[in-house]
Amino acid sequence: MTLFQWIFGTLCAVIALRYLIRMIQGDGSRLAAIFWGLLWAGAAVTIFRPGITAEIAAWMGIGRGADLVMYLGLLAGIGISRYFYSRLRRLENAFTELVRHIAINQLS
Amino acid sequence: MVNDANTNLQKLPADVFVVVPAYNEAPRIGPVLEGLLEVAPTVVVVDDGSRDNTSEVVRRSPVWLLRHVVNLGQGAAIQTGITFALQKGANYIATFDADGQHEPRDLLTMYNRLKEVGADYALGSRFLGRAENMPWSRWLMLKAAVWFTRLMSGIWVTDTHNGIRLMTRRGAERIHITMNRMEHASEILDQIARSGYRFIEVPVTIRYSAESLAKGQKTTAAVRLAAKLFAERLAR
Repeated sequence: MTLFQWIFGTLCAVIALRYLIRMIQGDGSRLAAIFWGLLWAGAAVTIFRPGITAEIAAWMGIGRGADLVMYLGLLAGIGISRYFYSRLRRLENAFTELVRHIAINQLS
Repeated sequence: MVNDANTNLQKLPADVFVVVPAYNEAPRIGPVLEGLLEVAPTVVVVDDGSRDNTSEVVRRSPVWLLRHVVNLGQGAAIQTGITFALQKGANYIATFDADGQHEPRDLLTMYNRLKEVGADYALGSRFLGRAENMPWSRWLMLKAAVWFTRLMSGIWVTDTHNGIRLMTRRGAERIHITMNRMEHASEILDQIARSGYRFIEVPVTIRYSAESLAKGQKTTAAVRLAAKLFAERLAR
C-alpha cells in the first residue's frame, strides 16, 4: 500500500466509523448518518482497493472507473445543490412572511 | 367599446386599492402620490425598508403606509400590499410603481376595460401604448423578456415587466408572490397563466426619465433574473 492509501484511506475509514457510532447512539438524524457513513466508507474502500471502481464501472457498462466516480459526483452535486437551494428558498420565504406580518400588524 | 358612463369616470371607486411599492423614493413619491390620489382614493404604499425619508414623505398624504423593517424587494412589497388590501376588503387591486413612470389615468382605462370584458386581470402594455424616451437597450431587454416569458410560462403578452396592473379580488387571491425581487413580474404572469382566469392587455404610457432609468432594471441584472427564474423552475 502507498503512503496516500495509508493516510487518506484510514482517515475516510475513521470518519465512516464515527458516523456508524453516531447512528448507533441515535445522535442526530439517522438518515444523514447512514448517508454520510456510506459515502465515507465508499471513499475508504475505493482508496484501499482502487480497482473496485473499474470493476463496478465495467459491470454497469461504463468504460472507466474514473468515469463512474465522475458521474456519481456530478449527480451528487446536483442533488446537494437542489437541496440547499430549496432550504434557502424556504428560509427566505419564512423571513419574508415574518417581515410582512410585522408590517401589517404594526399598522393594525 | 367602453360605454359612455365608464369613459366619463373621473375617479376609481374606494374599493379599488392601489398598491405602490417604494424603496428610497423620497425625492419622487410626493408628486407621484399627488397625481395618483386624483384618480384613486385608496392607496397603499409599502415602504420596502427605505434608507431615506420615504415614509416621512408618504405620511403627508392620505394613504395607508406599511413598512418593511428590512429591504426585501419589489415583489415582496407588492405581495404585502395585496395581502393587506385583501384583508381590508378590496374588490380590485392595482399595482403602480413609485418612480413616476406611470400615468395615473391609465388606471381608469384599465378599470373600465376590466369591467367591460369581465376579465380578472388587466395588464398594462407600453408596446401597445406609448413608451416615451425609452433607450434602445431597454427596448431590447424588454423584448427578450417577452420571448423568455412566452417560452417559460406559455403566456402570450406583449409586455412582461410593466408595473401597472389591475386585478379583481378573485384574481388577487390567486396571486402569491414568493420571488422577492424583480423576478416577481414573471412569477405573476406564471400564476395568471395557471389560474386559468381571463386576462387582457391595456395600452398604457410609460415615461422614462434619467432618474427612473437609473433606478430601473439594469441590462446585466436581466441575465441574473433569467438565471434565477430558470433555477426556480428546476427546483420546483
